Amino acid sequence: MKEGLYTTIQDLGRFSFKNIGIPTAGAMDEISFKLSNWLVFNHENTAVLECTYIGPELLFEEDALVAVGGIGFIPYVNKTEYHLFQPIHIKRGETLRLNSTELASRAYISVQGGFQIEKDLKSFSTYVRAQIGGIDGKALHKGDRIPTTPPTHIPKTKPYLSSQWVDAILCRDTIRFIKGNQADWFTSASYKAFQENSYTISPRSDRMGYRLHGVELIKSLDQELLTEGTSPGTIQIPPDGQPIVLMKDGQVTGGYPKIGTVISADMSVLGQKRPGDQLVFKEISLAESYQIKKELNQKLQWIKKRIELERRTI
Amino acid sequence: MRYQIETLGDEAVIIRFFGASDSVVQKRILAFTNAINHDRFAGYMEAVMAYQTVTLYFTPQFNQGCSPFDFVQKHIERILQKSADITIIESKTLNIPVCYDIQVGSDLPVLANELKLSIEEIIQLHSEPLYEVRFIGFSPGFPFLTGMDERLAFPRKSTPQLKIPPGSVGIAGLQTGIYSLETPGGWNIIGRTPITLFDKKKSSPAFFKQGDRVKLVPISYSDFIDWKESSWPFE
Repeated sequence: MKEGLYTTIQDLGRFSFKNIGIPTAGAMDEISFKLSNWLVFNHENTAVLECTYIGPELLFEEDALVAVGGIGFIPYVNKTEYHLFQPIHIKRGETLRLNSTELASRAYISVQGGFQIEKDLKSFSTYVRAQIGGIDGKALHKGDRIPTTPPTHIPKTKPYLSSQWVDAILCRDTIRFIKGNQADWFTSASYKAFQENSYTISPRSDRMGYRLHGVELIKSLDQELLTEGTSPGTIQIPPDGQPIVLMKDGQVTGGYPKIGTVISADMSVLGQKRPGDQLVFKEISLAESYQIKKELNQKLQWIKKRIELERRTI
Repeated sequence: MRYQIETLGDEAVIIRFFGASDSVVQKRILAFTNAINHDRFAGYMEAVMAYQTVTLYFTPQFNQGCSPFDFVQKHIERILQKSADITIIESKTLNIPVCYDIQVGSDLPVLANELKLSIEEIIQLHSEPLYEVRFIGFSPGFPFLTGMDERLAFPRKSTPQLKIPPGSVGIAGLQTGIYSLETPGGWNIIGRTPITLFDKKKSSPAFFKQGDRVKLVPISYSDFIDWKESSWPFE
């Protein structure tokens, strides 16, 4: 009924096409994405709607079990308010809308059974720049219809994840990174300044990358890099000295020197940031990053098991 | 030839080859990438080749009895020891129309001025060599061409431009390439080709393949506007 500011269909992304230049795409906040799927008893890689700042208004033509994950949104079905990260049994003819608070960034709307649409290059993820995936490779438009299936399972009680539990994982301003392949191209003062000052996310930021503003970073070596691979989270420094963090639609190779790469465990935190937000970068070791990843995986598996206990066949 | 394995965050590694000629490095990269795609390790996702590097993407494995990085490193080293075979790639030569006109090559005047060359000289130097598609990267179907005349080398822009039209032919340092989609980019734009470099509906969505030989054929602005794929002799 309303499309929202920028709503796309996403799953965990598209793998095995990077060699022809196609980025992974996929959910910017994989944690909220997975939780939203688990809460409606879906496989974690089921396609969902990713909403940006302002959510859509959706009329359901079939019964559905849905959940809305993310930060800063309040889901409503007709006039009833629900929690984020709560399974909602929507009846045919009812409307789901999201109210945005000032913290609203990205929300994930999952539907049990997913969407009855075709994959494109092995994934549902929308990559708008090349018009791949989703519905015609585009963001949603008013009037688009996405086929869903009625639920076969519903929760036994009325569970939802507490916002404290989610915020403890997703709400932080310190972004941890692993030292980059060209970190030593920068003056030691610049490398230090990068971690001692905060950087602001520019409005010219999107799913491809976040442009940051802050202390200019100076190279001590005057050389050009031969293009090489990048990854989501790679922090590139163009000659103007202002960092760019590549996100899920980021180019697969790049020629700007890389001062670091954000650890995978913090990519969801970054995925929930908005233009104007301030970030502080902190270098950690590879071993520490794996410890963090392992603990995060354990936390998520624990909650996944708790959610599964709620499953009841209709 | 020597190599080093570097981390790229916690879910990718870059294998950097050095200490050999460019063509030897290129063959090694190809042989290694073929080998790893046939002999994958747990968690392996995909590989991206570039000039001197192969980047491998993976899901960290915590149940292999060592750190996820050590596990990947051991596998890579094992493959490097046995993937010395040289793979020959079949290649074809493609004629690619390029309009070198300031209406579609907005950075021509700046380059001419800085490189102390006339625009005509830039066009001649740029369209003379037989290029090779070294790899596809940056964005879907974007070919990185090797073989550019060193006199045309020019650094990237200090701030990337927000929107570069698809087909734009650019220079960055010693590299030249063609933007396949409308993307931001920092290369200096000297012309544009009317061909479509990426079409997801085709069985091979990328127009170019690694190893293709490429001859850039200058066309006028009016020919660029009127260009038709069906009447162009690509090969």
